[in-house]
Amino acid sequence: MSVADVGLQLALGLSFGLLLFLLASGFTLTFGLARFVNLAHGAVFLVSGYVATSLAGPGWRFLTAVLAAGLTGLVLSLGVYGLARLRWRQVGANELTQVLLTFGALLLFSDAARSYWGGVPRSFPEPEILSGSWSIGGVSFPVYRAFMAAAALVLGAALWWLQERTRFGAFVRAGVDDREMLEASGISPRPLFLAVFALSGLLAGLAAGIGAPVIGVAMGQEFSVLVFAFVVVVLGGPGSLTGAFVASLVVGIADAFGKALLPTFAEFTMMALVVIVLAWRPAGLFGRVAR
Amino acid sequence: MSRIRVLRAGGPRRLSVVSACLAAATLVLSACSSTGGGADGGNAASNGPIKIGVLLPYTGPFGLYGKPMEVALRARFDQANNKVDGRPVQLVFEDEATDAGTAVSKATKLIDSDHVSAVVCCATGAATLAVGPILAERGIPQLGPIPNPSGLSKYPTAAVAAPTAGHDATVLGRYAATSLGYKSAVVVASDFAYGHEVADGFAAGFTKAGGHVVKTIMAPLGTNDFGSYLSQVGDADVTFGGFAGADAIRFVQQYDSFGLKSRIPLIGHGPMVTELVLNQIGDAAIGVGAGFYYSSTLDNPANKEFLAAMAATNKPIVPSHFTAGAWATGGVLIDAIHRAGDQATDGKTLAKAIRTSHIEAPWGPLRFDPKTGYALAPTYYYEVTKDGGHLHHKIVGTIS
Repeated sequence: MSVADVGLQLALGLSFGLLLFLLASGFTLTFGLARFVNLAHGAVFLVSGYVATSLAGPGWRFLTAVLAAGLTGLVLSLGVYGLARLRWRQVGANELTQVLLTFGALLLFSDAARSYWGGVPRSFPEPEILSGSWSIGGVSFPVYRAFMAAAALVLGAALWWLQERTRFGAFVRAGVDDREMLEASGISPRPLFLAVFALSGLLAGLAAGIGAPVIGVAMGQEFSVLVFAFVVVVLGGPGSLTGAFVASLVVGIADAFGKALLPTFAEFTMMALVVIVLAWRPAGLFGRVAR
Repeated sequence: MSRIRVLRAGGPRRLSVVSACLAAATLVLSACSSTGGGADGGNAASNGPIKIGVLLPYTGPFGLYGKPMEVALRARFDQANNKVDGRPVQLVFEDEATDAGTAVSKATKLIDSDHVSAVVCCATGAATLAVGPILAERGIPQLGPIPNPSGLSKYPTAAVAAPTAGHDATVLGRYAATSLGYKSAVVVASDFAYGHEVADGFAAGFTKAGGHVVKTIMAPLGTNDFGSYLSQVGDADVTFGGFAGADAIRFVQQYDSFGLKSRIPLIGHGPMVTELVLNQIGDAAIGVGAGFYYSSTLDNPANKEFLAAMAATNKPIVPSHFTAGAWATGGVLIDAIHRAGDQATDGKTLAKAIRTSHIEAPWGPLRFDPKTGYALAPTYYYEVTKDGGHLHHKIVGTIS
């Protein structure tokens, strides 16, 4: 591979990885803080994506479509939290019950999407100003992918600022580290959980809206996207935003090079990576062993 | 007094026993009603209704095709007043759920409980092949409504009302090397049965006509990001794409956004730019060519009749080879039942009548290859154009 080719694969991997980060960051937050396995996350992505395709259009409508997708994600995620809240005593501490509940929610959301949008795969074109591609050193890189990467970086930076520089973020970090201590110091975890669920849904929805012109929206994505989120969280360690960021980039780049060098084994390279990393560090790259 | 109390104490348990019995009874009743008509018999008599079983995907990944195909098939029979030579024809629809196992159990139900004389199956390739031996063993004719993988040819009672995907791809390969004048090609396709079949078919036709396949890239089914694959395309006269469904949308869009479409023209097998996904792909599809046995813009009386009938159903269904295939399947069945006459409920006779059927389908003349049972149909080449803000196919010509 030429230098330009390597650079292209790197850029592709990074842009895809950053999109993954948007999706996985919400998942890792609910998992790390609330110890909550939210399998409905994939379906939240799916429905938000479909909403974006319904509202998309030329000009400013792209922005409204993406924001509407974010809002849909937020509302749906809060819905899942509300559902769990109904029986929090049984659900809150029992991971199996969480899996069953959120998987049921996933099936509910995805079937609702299928009956409303007819199960047809959908997409929408990128806005005019972001269309086209740059030609660098003989290879073409689409402008929209650069925008996608930039948007994910900006959102990621905002998330980092929220976590590192605000009181809310301090509570979240403390809760991930030691929830009992957090509660003992008089901070109620409930509003925290609510905010984290809302945030994770918002991020998933925005990811769906921004990613739709590239990866589209189709039935089955509720599962494939969930697998990606799991891989990122497991690799990066639950609850760690830095871990999710690094893991997303690693997964994106490994995926890009895997496709370029071993096309038939593309999916295998990602999973092989997970196996190797977990064998070396069972808690993930940045994770802590559960107390 | 204590006896009454004991009875009351046993109340909840008795209640649950009663409700369990009610539930069981409801289940049994609903099972009986869904098999409906099994006890009626009378099918063997030549004036009793003929029942045709139809297995379509209403759920699962192909779930979007079930309802439209049902509407098209029903519309064809409605046009004949649901009778052939005065004998009523009943359609029994079941869901194969895009799953071979479900298709097999539903097929068995259609044969044993509904006593159907033929089964239309299926839209899912794997389901078609799984049901094949079952129907063949029971002597029930099988009719596939859309292109299916080859493999049914060994059953003389089976037929498919469409050419195989590989056939159209081979014809396109030959056309690309001869009339379109391409010398080298890159083949990119989905890494599963369909993708391999069209990729191999195109390569065979292309190389036999003097072309040279420079590279073959197979991407896993459901690939989100084709970027890394597209960067490997390199240089050639044309790219052949073998994708369907969501993958087709993503591939064509990304092929354009990576600047490849302006450098190397893209052609593909029909499903890559089928009407169902064309609007979702958007302007990225403009200029893409395809070779296939059907396009909704074909200008012939049978197609016009089909499109009018679909519009008259007042259901928002985009015409495509799925619905056109279902419509033609109805036409074949009506013709075969008519020619089988009194023997229409005899499996072998009906199967032979199906295989010797010769009707006008929305894509032109439809008849079956007597050796394989797969349909012989013309192949058309068309390009995607935009007219008045709408994307549609522009037929260039018949290439078979």
